[in-house]
Amino acid sequence: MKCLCCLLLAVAVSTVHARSESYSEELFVKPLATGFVYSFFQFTVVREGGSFSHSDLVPHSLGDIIDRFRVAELHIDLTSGLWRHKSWGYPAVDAPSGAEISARFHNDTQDVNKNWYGLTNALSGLLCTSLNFINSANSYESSADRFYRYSNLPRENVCTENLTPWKKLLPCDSTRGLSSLLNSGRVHNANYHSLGIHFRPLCNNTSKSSKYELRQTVSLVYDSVFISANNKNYDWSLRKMFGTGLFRTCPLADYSKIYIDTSANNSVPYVLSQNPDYFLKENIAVYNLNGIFHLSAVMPRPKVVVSDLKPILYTDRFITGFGQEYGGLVTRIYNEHRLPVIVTVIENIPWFLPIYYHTLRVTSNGVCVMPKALIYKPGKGRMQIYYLEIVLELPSHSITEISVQFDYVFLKWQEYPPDANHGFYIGSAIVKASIPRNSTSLTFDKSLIIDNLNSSDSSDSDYLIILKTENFIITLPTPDFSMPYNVICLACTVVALAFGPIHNITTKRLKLTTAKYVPGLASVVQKSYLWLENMVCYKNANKVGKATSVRVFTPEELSYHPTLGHVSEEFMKNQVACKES
Amino acid sequence: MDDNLIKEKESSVQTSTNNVNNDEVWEIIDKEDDEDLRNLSAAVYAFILLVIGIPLWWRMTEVQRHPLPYSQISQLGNMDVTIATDIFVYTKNVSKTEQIIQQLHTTFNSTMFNINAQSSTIKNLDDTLDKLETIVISPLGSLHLIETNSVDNITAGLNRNVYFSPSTNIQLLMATLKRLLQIDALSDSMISMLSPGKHSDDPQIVAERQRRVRPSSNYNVLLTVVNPEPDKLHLSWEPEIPLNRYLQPLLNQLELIADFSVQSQWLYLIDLVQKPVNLNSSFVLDKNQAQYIITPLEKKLGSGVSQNPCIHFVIYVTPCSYIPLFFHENNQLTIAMMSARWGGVQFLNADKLSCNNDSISFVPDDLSIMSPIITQFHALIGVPDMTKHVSLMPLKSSTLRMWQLDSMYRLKIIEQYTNARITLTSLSRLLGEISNIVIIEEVGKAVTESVEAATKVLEYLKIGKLDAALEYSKLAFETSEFAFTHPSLLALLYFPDDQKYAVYIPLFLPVMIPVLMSLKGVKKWIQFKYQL
Repeated sequence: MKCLCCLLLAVAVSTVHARSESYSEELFVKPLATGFVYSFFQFTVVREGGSFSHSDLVPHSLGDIIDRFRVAELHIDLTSGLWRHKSWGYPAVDAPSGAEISARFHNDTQDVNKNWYGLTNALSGLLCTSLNFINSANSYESSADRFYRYSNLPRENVCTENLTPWKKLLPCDSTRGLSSLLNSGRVHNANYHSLGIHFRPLCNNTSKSSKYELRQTVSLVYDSVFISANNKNYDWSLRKMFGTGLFRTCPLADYSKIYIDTSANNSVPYVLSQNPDYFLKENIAVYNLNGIFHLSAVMPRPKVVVSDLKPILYTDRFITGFGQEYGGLVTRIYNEHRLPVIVTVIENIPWFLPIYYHTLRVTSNGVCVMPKALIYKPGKGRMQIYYLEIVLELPSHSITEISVQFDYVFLKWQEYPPDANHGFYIGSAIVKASIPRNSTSLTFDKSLIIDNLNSSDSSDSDYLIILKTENFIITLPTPDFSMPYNVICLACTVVALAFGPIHNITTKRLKLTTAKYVPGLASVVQKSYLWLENMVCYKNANKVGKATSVRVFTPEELSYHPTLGHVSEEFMKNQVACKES
Repeated sequence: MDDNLIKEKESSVQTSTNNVNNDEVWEIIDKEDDEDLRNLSAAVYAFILLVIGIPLWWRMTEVQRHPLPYSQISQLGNMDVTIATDIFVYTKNVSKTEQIIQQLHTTFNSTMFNINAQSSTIKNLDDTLDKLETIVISPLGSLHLIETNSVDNITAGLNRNVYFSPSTNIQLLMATLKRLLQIDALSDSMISMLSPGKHSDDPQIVAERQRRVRPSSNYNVLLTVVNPEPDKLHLSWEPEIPLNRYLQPLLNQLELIADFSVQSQWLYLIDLVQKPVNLNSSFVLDKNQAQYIITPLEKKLGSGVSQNPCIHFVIYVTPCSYIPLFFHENNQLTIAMMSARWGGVQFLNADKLSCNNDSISFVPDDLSIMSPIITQFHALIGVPDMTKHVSLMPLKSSTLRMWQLDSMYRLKIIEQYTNARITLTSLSRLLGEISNIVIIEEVGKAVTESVEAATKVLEYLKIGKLDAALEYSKLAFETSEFAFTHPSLLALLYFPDDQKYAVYIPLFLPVMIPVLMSLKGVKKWIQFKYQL
């Protein structure tokens, strides 16, 4: 009876607790103006409740990390290639080349740094990245938020070993659904690819319980000329891009959809192989996935490239100066909007590139501009980066240039990476700006792509964009790495060489003694020396052409000389004669 | 010209003829010379290099070693473990009580238990078992033997009481007590750790020991529900609720032993790699095939963040085509299998109705899922199985009986103490063998602390304070593990001595040869100075 009661109660409770997680898979494909095709995968889990110790669709391994290190918000991007804002517009997720990670911890975190390093170490194991190289010398905390940490590793290579663990975090792994399109061979063929994990709390006014969102994203840009092996057309298809079609959808997903942006259809008419289920906002084709699916597009190459909506804000970054003494760092921000735009520029420059604050110049169209706000935290050798945060108002239709001078420094020999002559990567700067929603064709700030596409909010309300600039490589003065060993050897030799004579001079004294015959090694050496000398003389004589008669003495003929040993009697006589005369 | 030549020749002839005089002249010059000064400076060179330089160099290239209590560590091996235990005996007959007490002393004389048997002070005798359970409260670590007519044989209660009928044979009672106090299991776990290869003769005790998870002060318990066909079968179950209801009280009871953190996860679309055999409309997998189910799962199970050992419980929801699925073990069909030191796997057979039916989701029965898990958990953490030797009063919840908890304490104390002792001994032996191991102050302190804690464990066991002994054994275990696995130990291991000499010999050899050679002259000079 008791058991039955328990059972009944348990059933009652479990029915009350409906699944608090929802999962959706989406793919957004957009042909870009210059023949590139942008495909953006998003796998979203929205979950109610803060603790991840009991998880269903949220991967336990990631949930455990989030719980253990008290993470409130987490963004990881692993990217290879450069997103070209000017011609491609804004991506759904902007990420610089290499690895980038930022996290915000819960407000009650005791030791934020400890958690931050623990988090990066755990994630480096989870995703097979080098995030464990993050330390105080390449990460910074936000000037406004004590619990926020950011770091990027521009040298990180993104490859299959990152994609495989990334796919393992998905509820359907790579067996079903859209993730089955992500074959490592094809993904890494792309001109630009970026893997992302984005975890953030959702603002929720209606209910008191906290809501969290975990998005796993992949951005891929293929060159359609390259994938279709046809120079005349901008054709693309799922099979050409990913090497396979779709066979089965993920049964756990609430949504499984593909969206095609057909807004380029106005300038370049193109044909999709399947009719979409419906259109969103007239130019976004939506396909609901169930079962086998394939899609291709036939798209003639346009005679004139017409970009649909040029981005109003984009950046450039380069270094100036020559040689290895002084250098300069220039970040350019282009504002093509008809109104002024307020932007925040964050430069994080590593400690081995000390910048001169007094050389900081901000000019806009050649005119000096006063920043609205400026935060500068000087770096500390091996401890802290140079952090520069500038809030600027960009005039309309302007090019704003931020330039600062820096020095190249010598590092300790152990601080050079392997292949030091390759150069040092300097991470991207961050440009944040709020732009009007109607100035960009697509916005991506909601959980699901469909909500973003569907949003009728085309008013002037602001949309936050975050641009990441290019990375660059500098060459620091690089020493010869065999030097330390050479120095040890040389120093030892010099010391030993110096010590011998000094010791001799101070402890010994030259003194004149009469020579005595010493039987043994010395006399043998002496004799062989003489014999050699005779030989040389003989040879020389031969060369000159004079034949000198050499007489060979028998041992009986030889007599003893105190220094020369056994010599001929004739020689002795001569000697004696010399003395006597 | 000729005169000059002749003079020169004369002088040269003179010198050659006056050889003897010449030597005397030189000797005179030698003596007037700064011989003292030269020899002194040679002596100073030798002094600086040999007396100051070499010891200084030796000291500076020496491996840093914080002093360790070697003698105390080696003493640990000589100390015997004695557990003081109170046993209260109650019978209706005073002489029988005395006889039992006498018997207790003789039986437990040569074991690690130091039995302090005494007659009980309770008076009421004709109560029921339930009443006795509530009246007789014994302190931690003790046992109460009560003779009563309410039982037919020897019965272990929920607290620390053991009931026996008046007709019970005393020898049988003693044998049962030995089992209850786990004398064999304790000595077996100690022997097997101290000298691997040796073990107890009782196969049950050995099997129980081999099942236990490795000692640690923190464990993760991870319940994984695997649904290989989420498109065909909907499952409506929240593992959190039964875990909290059935497992948590047990974990709370064990909080002195270790901290357990309970987690659960769901995995989908993982195939059952094995093909079950169809047997009378049910499907059967051999128990040896369980490992082939675990291995493909293993790579998706853990998070890899935690260093603590993880106890896994996997609930595999049977694919619709194989319902019902069982393990085949010793001619019996079971749904659950235990994998030693790892965890357990069980099949969850859904009813056929909910298969391929979108509208119905299958609701499993919490209790039938949790009871194998609790049983497996008991075996994994080392709760002994006494059902063969003594009849037990049925439990009202998933928690342990008090005497079981006591024996768990004893087992953990012995296990952790022995582990700490082995770790300390091997650490001190390792340091003796490998001279390059660095011991920083932190490690040195941890070792000292561990040794002190281990000594305290023995002291507290001697006076029967199990809770204090457990606390110290945990401390000893943790600090010894910390010291043994500290990364600083390895800091200089890659730099062997011969390399050290290879670096310094280019300097030392050319410098030392003249200094050592000059010592001969110095010796002569000293002899000349002080003997003549």
